[in-house]
Amino acid sequence: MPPSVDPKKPPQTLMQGNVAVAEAAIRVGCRFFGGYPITPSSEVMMRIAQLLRENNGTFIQMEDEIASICAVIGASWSGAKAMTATSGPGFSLMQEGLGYAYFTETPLVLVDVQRAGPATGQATHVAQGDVMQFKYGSHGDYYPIALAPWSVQELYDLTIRSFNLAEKYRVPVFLATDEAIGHARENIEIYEEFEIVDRVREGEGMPFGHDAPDGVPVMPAFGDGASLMVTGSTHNPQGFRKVDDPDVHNNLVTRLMRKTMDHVDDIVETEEYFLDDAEIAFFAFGISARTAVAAVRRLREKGVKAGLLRTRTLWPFPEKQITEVGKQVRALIVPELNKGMMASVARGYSQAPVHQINKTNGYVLEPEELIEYVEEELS
Amino acid sequence: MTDQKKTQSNGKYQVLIAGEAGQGVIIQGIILAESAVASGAWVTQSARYGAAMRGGVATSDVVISNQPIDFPEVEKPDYMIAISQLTYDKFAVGKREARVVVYDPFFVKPVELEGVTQVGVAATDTAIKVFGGAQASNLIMLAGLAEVTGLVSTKDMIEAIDRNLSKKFRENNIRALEIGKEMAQEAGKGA
Amino acid sequence: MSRAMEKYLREGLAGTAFCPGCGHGILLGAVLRAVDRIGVKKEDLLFVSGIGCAAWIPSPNIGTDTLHTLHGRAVAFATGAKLANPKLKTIVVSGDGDLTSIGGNHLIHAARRNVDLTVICADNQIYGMTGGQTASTTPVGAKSSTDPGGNIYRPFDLCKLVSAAGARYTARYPVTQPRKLIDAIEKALRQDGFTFVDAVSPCPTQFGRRNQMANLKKLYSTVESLCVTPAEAEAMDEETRLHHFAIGEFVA
Repeated sequence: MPPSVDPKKPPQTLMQGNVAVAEAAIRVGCRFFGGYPITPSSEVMMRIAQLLRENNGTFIQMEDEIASICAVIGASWSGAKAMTATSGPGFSLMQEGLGYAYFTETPLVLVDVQRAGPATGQATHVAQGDVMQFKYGSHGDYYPIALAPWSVQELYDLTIRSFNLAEKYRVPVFLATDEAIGHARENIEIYEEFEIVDRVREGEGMPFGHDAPDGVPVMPAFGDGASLMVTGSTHNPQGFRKVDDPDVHNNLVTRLMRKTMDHVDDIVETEEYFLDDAEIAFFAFGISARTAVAAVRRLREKGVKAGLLRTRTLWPFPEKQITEVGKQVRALIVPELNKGMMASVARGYSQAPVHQINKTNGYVLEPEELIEYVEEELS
Repeated sequence: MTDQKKTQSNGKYQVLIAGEAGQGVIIQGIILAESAVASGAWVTQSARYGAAMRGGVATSDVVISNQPIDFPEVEKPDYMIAISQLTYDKFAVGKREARVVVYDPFFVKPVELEGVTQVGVAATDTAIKVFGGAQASNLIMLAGLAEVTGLVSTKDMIEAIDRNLSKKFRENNIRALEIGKEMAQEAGKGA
Repeated sequence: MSRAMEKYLREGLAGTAFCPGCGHGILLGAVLRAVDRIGVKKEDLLFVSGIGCAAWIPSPNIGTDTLHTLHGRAVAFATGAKLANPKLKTIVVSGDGDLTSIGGNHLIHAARRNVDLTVICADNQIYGMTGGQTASTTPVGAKSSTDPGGNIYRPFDLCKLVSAAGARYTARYPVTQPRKLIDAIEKALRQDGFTFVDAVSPCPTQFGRRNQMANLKKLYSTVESLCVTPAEAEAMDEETRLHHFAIGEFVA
């Protein structure tokens, strides 16, 4: 989907990451944004407020993040591609609505520009501390999709992909970015031609059921004459509440999880750098992967056989890819801006010992910190 | 002076612009980054600052390269603009990484730094005198840096101004660039 | 319910979940009659509700599009749905605890924005579904499962609250006066902008039983006896006023 960029021809546009999200969203067809101001995500809202006005869409600044996510869900059921953007404290407030969106199979995109937490923390400083909240933020069993861009260009690319996955699988999709990338300005190619996926509004079958155990049901909108019954209570394929039927509940929870888990190969995207002959490998996402790729190049110059597995998908977790790399290297190193969230998951799949490099002072990891770790701990 | 111009062989230049929040550190970074994009380079610009709109250390990083940029922030600045004593002391003197430091004597009393080219550009004083306000000092400083380092051309900077700043002030902005360039040339003669 | 309203009921219903004597069945009938008068096509009607007994008035009973949401959030969901498709006639029906306690902020902000919604509060002055706990509308002195000695805090005057926040129309009527209630809902539906009807709908199971009104006749006649005009209410001292229902239109 993203155009292959010629290293000799830097794109002639400089853009801030958060702005790139808004530009991509409008081009993939987003026509509703409900949000609440929060640093460091507010530029997404400010830019898309303008773009929606120019493109016959709807922008509304709600009274809080709880209302924002609810308005987005309502708009999605009215047929609009809808999104919101927030950061840690707002993301916490949205968890109730996100569970609802997941359970009612409502497509939407949420951009989380991660900042240093817990609580108010440091609003203007970077972190990658929401890794687990993407996966487990709401109550109950569910398996959401979270994409992890590492550049301004990828904020554009993966915003498009987030909408496409949301529409394809009828799920909320998280764009898991961070302050460093959201606020960075970089060269960007704003391309207009790309694949756009739209939900299936007309067709056979019930709106909340599917013959296939991992199937995505048809999703009529309000006003289409489908007499929809949308509910966050356990419901049968037609939408009737079934709050006492064990089979209906179990079947629903299971199908919803399988929608994601049975399509991991379609959803998960990773990239490999210098892994062919690597003896040690980094596993990283987002801004920390930028640090890692710089560290790997410098380690190679020093003769260290280092490589990088970079994931563009936080959830579903790239289990297969980690397992493969874990068979090959003598150490897997996970640098991240939290106390070891990704590392703890990677340990479940990597045969090689998993080392972790963590930074939680509100600044990004620098390449030399990774190099130092390798030289001191792994040489 | 010429020996300070783009002589690094790896084609990557790291610029640190350091001052206090509210001083225009970020807009300087953006104009420099836009100028570099106009010149056909790979560029990243980022900033570090606190939650307050005024006061506290604010820095803007600009990395300019002939290759796609792996790590987007400044690790060791080649060039620095210093517009507060605190950040001059911390980065120019303390870390002592930048080979060229362009400072505004209105805010910074420089000390002798061996091996570092230091160029004073009286941007704030001049901006107030010529334009009646300190705002134009941002462009005067940038033009000074551009003159000393050759990082970007005046033409690239004008393109960046056209892309980012109000047309209403275009003439004044271009005049500010000229002033910065002249001041850096003068300071260079004295150095 | 007369057969005339059956066209609005969802196919496949096996009856409602309301307790015998619950006011919500009467309110459902009133809502449908008012809706029938305004003549909006069924596919253009959207009913949104929160959580609780009252949220089950439209969902699943009404055979239009229904959105049964989260506790307190109905108005926020409705705002998004309405703005994304303005041709939807969007009606929120939910309870007093849902709309005015956990959802109070959404309610006043929707009124402030004058979003084109009609909100009907099924006001039973208690948390029914969760077991009779005190609500933000429970009268002072009334007993509940969390205030067995009687509630000590003042209730909201919902019409005043929503009127002050900017609603275009507000009214209060009990289900014991169904004709006036239907007229008020109709008026609310015809008025552009944010409109609000506080429909007093007694709960025999959780409120009546605890307050010596288990007998339905006593419960309903008590509600009726407490109804006063807004002018009469204003003439009362605060304590007396809070034990009565000022009925009528407040913003019209």
